[in-house]
Amino acid sequence: MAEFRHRHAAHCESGVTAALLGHAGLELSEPMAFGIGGGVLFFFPPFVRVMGMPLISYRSYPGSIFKLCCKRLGVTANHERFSSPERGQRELDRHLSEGRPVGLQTNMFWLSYFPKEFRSQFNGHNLIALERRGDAYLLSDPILKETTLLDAEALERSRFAKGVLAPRGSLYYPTEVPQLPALAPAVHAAVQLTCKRMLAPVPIVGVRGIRRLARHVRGWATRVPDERRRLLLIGHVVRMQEEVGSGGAGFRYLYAAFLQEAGERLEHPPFLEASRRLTEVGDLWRNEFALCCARIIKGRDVSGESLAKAAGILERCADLEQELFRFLLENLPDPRSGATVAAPALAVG
Amino acid sequence: MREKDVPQDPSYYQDLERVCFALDEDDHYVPARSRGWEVERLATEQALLVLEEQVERERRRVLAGEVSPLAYHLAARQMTPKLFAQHVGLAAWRVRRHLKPRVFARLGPERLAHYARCLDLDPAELARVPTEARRVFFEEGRSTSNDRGTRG
Repeated sequence: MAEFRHRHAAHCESGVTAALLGHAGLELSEPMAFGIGGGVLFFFPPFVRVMGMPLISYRSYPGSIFKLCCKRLGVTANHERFSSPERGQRELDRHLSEGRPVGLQTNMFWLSYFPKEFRSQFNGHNLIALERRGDAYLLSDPILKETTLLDAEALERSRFAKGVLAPRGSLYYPTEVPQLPALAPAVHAAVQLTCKRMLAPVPIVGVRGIRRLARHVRGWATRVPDERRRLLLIGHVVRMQEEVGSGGAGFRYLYAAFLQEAGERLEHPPFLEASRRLTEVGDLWRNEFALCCARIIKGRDVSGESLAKAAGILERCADLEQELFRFLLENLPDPRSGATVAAPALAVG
Repeated sequence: MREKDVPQDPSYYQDLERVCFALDEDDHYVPARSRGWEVERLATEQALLVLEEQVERERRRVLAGEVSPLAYHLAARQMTPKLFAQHVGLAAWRVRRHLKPRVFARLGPERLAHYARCLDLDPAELARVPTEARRVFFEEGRSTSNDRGTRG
């Protein structure tokens, strides 16, 4: 089997997907894996709290990128979960001794190779196990520049952590990879699904979810009397957007990169146009909304006026994304066009 | 975002660099490396400082005899009694009961050893808390904007 090539990525799951498929012989850039896996989303449900904070997600359900990406490209994959940590570890060791790198779902808190500031009780982090070395495992974590070692006990803790999205030792790997899968049908189906999700007539997802968040941000001025709590809520939104593995602007840049690459390879100009527009929306999320929030935090100014300003930017993001995804939905590529997946992968510059 | 505008603010990333997709001079998306962003640091720091306050509050309450040391260790692991209960395989109300010093004092060695294992502690550590305040969610020696604020 060929030597495994570690890839530094923007987002853990699309990085793991691209690396595992690449190792199995299907070269795919990270943005392509992200886009075909339908990674981009907006989700803001009521009632759900994570450590006392509302859940705000800019991405699809953890685990779905790998699954969808495989499905769309005709890759068959195995996915195993375990009720007992002992069996989970034995199975992992068996795969590794057979020279098969496997993707793992882990809890970030126990991954001691990250700086402490990164480590929180979040169960949706993905990485690849490469090899067992005595009491440690050699891991390829796409968030790191290089591979790293982690002791077996910490990895077991991390794989069998409990709570929301409990990984239950989740382990996955591709088994059969087609030689040159057709790109057009995969991209067509993936973009269509993403557009439908973003435009869904449901008030908690997609652009309607963004508008709901804007309403909430504006409402904090009256509904949250404690100014400190307001600051924390604002900080929380920014954190969810920019922190660990979003690649900036809540995955909007990553998706724009996907649209650009797909547009070029399918020779489909509307995607290039959409990519440009999504980049602008990304800039709005990042340079206006996140910066506006940072000023609020820095100046401790949570007046109704500054909250309304932040909410206004969110509404602009929602409007632009609504237009954009409608445009995409009307301009999907012909699924019968001939491009295939194999092409040079992007290298980290 | 342009490749040259990718923020390179020193932050808690340390030597860790993150990938971020940005446009190069030919308007092509390329993976670019970022050493951190001030905005992200502000938001994270603020959230972590609140958690630190909770840990410190629990530590004081343990020293004052109001709660058992388990309360401190849970806070230091970002765990709620409910989450911890799932880890140890007990009902949440039983773990909550173990937050009372009197009940905690009666726990058997096996249960304590199991608790300690689930929290990645030595059994001896489980029964005590640090005598001085210290941060648990920041790397050693890391200063935050709050510290800088007090210095002037």
